[in-house]
Amino acid sequence: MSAKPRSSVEVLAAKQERRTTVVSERHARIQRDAPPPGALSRTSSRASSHGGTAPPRAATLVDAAHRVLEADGTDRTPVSLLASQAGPRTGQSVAGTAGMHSSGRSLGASGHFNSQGTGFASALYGSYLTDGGSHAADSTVDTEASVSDTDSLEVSSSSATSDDEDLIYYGEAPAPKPAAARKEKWRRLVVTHEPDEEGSAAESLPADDEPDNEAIDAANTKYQALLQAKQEDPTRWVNAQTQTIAPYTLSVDCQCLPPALQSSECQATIADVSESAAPSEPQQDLEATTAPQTHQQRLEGHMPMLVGAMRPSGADKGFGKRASGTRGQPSTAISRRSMINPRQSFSNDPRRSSDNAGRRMSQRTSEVGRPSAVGRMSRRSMDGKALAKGYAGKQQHYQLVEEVAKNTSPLVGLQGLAEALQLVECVVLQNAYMSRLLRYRDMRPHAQEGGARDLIMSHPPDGPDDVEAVAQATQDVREALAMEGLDKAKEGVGMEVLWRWSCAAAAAMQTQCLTWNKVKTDLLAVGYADKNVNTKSPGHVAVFSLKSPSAPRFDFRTPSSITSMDFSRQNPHLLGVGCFDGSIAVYDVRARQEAPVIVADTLAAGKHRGPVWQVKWVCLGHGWDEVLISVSADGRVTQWSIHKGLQHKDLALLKRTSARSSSASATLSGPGRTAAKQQSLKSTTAQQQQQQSGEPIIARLSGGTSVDFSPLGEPSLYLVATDDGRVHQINTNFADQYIRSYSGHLGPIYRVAWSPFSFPYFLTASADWTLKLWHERQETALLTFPVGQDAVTDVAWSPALGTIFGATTAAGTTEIWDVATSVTQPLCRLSDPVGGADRTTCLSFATEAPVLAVGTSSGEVRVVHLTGLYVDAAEVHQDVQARHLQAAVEENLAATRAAAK
Amino acid sequence: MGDIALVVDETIKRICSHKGVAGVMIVNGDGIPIKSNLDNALTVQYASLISLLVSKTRSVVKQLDKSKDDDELQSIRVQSKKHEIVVVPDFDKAHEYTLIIVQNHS
Repeated sequence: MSAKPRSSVEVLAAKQERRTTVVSERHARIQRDAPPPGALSRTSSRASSHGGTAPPRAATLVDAAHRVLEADGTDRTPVSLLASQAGPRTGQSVAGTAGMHSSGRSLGASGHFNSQGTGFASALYGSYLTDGGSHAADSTVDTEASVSDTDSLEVSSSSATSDDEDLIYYGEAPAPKPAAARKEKWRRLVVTHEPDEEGSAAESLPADDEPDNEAIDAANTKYQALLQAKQEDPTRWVNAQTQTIAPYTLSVDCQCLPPALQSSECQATIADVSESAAPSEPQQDLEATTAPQTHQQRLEGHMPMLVGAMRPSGADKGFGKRASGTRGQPSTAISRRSMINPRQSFSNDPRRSSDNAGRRMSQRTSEVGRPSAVGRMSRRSMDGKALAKGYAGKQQHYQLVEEVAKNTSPLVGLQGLAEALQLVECVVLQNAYMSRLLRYRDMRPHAQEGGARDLIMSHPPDGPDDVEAVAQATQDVREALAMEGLDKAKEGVGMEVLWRWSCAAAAAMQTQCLTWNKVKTDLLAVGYADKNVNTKSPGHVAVFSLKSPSAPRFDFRTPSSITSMDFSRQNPHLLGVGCFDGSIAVYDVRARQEAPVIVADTLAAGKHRGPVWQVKWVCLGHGWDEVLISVSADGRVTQWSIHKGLQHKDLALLKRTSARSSSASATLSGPGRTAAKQQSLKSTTAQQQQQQSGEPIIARLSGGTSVDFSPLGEPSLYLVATDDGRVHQINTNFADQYIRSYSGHLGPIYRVAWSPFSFPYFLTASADWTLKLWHERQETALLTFPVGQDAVTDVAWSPALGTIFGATTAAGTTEIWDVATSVTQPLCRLSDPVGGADRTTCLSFATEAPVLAVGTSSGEVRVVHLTGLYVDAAEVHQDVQARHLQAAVEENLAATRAAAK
Repeated sequence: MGDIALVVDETIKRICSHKGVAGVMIVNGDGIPIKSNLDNALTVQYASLISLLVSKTRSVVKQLDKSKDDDELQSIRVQSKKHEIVVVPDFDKAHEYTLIIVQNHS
C-alpha cells in the first residue's frame, strides 16, 4: 500500500463535507439498528489515519442534492447499499455509505454500493458488531491496493459515523484471501441474509460468525502489520482527523465482589429518635435525620458488640451495610458494626413508615420468614425468598437479630398492633366469659335454674309504679328466704364470684380502694397501696372495664401509695386520688397518662400531713361546680376546687374532744349554744375552758377517717368519722363547731355512710368488730350489727334496695346484710376459701348491675354477683325504699326493746 | 417505647392463654405469615382464605357507605359451630398487616 501524501486541508475539508452529508442518513439507519459496538469507533479513527492514503484528490463539491462530486467531475456520491439497483460489483471496496442514498448511483468504484450489499452491509455490520475494528482496518488496507477503487474507499472511510463507515468499506473480504474468494464469500453472505429496508439489519445479522473467525483474525493481523509499517515509515502516513459521533454508548453490567466491610448497627429507641429529629411525618425526613443520628449513636457505642454473631449472607448486594434501624427495642441486642455509608442503609426502603421508621423495618426483618412449629411463637429464621421482597443487604442483619434477639418482641413496631390486639382480646374474652358477663347484667343464661331463684325472679311486679305489688314482691322474697329457714339463704340469695380482676404490675400490692365510675358504670378504678405502706412506697392505679375481665384497660404507677379515690360525677373522666403521703392528685382517665392532671403534693399546696383516708367529689350547692373533699389523718377536712389548679380551703379542723364533752354532745366553743350545753362545758377540762374563753391553745386534732355527704339532705351538712371512734356532723358554713357528735364505737371508724334512700340513717363500720346504724338525730346508735370476728373494713349501702348493705371484714369475708331480715346474721356471707390471710379491704356496689366489687389485700378485685338479691322491679321508688328501711329499723328496735324487757 | 413492646408481648401471651384460643396469626400484605401459633400449612391456608374474605368484605363496606366520609372495615368475626375467627385487617395502615385469631367454642 502506498501512502500518498495528501496535500492538504482541502482534502480534509472535502472529506468532512462528505462525511457530514452521510452522517445524518447513517444516523437514521443506525438508530434503527442495534447500537454498534464501541469497538467500531476505534476503527474509524484508525481508518481516518488512512485518510492520507487515499489518492490525492482535488476538492470536491457537495451539491445540494447530496451529490458528491470531485473536482474532476467524478461522482463520489455515496450510494446506499440498500438501493435497489444492484450493479455488478466492480471494485473491491464497498462504498460504504451505508448511507441511505437512494440515488442508487454507483460510482465507478462504488459498484459495490449496490444492494447486493444490502444484506452485505448488514452482514458486514453484523460481523463488525461482533468483531473488532481491526477487521475493518484491514479491509481498508486491502482496498487501497486498488487505487482506482479507493476513492470509494476514501469516501466511505470518510463517512462520518464511526461505525458504519468502516462497515461499508470493508465490503470485500476482510481476510487476506484473494479478492475473488472474498467476494464470493461475501456474496454468499449477502445472499443468505436479506434484511428489509427498514434497517432491521441487526436482526438479519449472520447468526454465527464462525466461518469468518479466521478471516477476522487474519484481518486483525493485517492491521497489526499495517500499524507496524506505519511506525517504520512515518513519512508515508499523514495523520488526519475525523469527527466521529458516537451517540450510543454501551452499558456494561458487571458484578464485583463486595468490598470487605465492617458494619455496625445500633438501635435507637423512639425516645432517642424523637429527641434528635423532629417527629415529622414524611419518611424521607425521618430517614435523613435519623441516619446521621443513629450513626452517631453507633459511634457512641450504643450497643454491645456481638461480632461473632454476624454472618454475611449471599443476598447481600455488597454495599454498605444498612443500619438495622431498629428502634424501641431495648431488649434486642444487636451487634455493632461500623457503617460504611449510613445513608445508604436508609435509601432503599420506600415503605418504611414514618413514626416507627426502622422499628418496623426491624420487625419485618426479623419476623419475615417461616412461621414456627405448632404451639410456639418464636422468632423466625431468615428465609431468602421473603428477603427477596426487597430488603437488600438486610439479611445480614436479619440473621443477626435472629441469633441474638431471642426473647424480644419484634412485632412492636407494627403500628396499630397494640390496638388490634386489644380489640381481639376483648372479643376473645367476651367469648370466654360470655356466661359470666350475662350474669353480670343479671341476664339469665340459657340453662334454666330451678329453686327459689325462679320463684323470686318469676314474680315481677306488674309495674314499677305499683307500690303494692312491689311490697308484695319483697314480701315474697322474705317469705322465700324465711322458708329456707336460714338467714343465709343460699339458694335464694347468693353471692358468686364472677371473675377476679388483677393487675399484673400491682401484683405485690394490696387493693386499698376502689370506685366505680359514675357515668360509665362498668368502669372500675382501683387504687393499690404497698403492703408495708409508708410515705415513700409507690402506689398504683388500674382502671378495669367489663371489656377485659382479666386485665386492666390501663394502669399506671403513682409516686405514693393510694389510699382513696373517687370518680367525679360532673366530669366523669376525672379521678380524684388521695395518697398515703398526704398529696391529692386528679387524674384524667381518658388521657391514660401517668402524670396527673393536677396534683397537690407539697405542703405549700396544701398537702395533708397524714394519709388521706377519703376523697369525695361533692357538689356543695345547686349549680355549683364539684369540689373534691378530702379528709385525712392530720385532722383537716379540706375542700379542693379544680377551677384553677388545685386550690384548697380547709373546711374544718377536727378537734379532738374528750369523752365527757362528747357525751354532752360537745361542740366547740361558740356563741349561740344552749344553756345546757354551756353548763356541760363548764364541767369539761381546762383545755376546753380555755377554748371556751377563746384563747388559742394547742388543740389536739383527731384524724379523720371518713367523710360522707348525703345526697338527700342539705348539701352543706356532712358527717366525719374520726379515728377515735366518733362521728361528727358538721355544717360547711360553721366550720368550727360540730353540730352533733355521735359516739359509741370503741375503735376507729373506717367508714361512715349515709343511706342513699332515707336521709336520717347512716351506717358506720369500725375496727371494734361492729357495724352501727344511726339516726342522725340520735347520738347513740340505733342498731348494732356484729359483723364478724375481725375489724370491719368497709361498709356500703346497696344502691338498689334500701335495706341492704354490704360489709367487708379484715378476716376476708364479704357479707350482705339486710336490715329487714335480721340484725344478727348477714343475709349471705362470702368467704374466700383460698387464703385466710387475705383481707378484704374495700367494697363497692355497682350502680346498674347486681354486682359487688371487693378488693382484697392480695391485690385482686373480686367481682361478685349478687344473685337473687335484686328483684326484677329494679325501679322501686326511692320513697318506697325509704319506707322499707324505716319500717325495718323500727321493727328491729321494737324487737330489741321487747327482747330487752 | 419499651413499654409498648412489653404490652404487645404481654397481650399476645395473654390472648394465647385464654380459654379456647387455638391460634394467633399475623399476616402481611402479601399473605406471608409473620407470626403464628399454628403450623405453616394451616397458617398459609388461613391467610389465603381470609385475605379473600377481607377484600370482599371491605368492598361491601365501602359500597354500602353512601355518605362522603369513608367507612372502613375494622374487624370481622366469623362465628361457626366450632370456631370463632376474629380478623382485624390492615391494623397497620401502611403495611397491610392482618391479625387473625381463632378461638374454639367450648
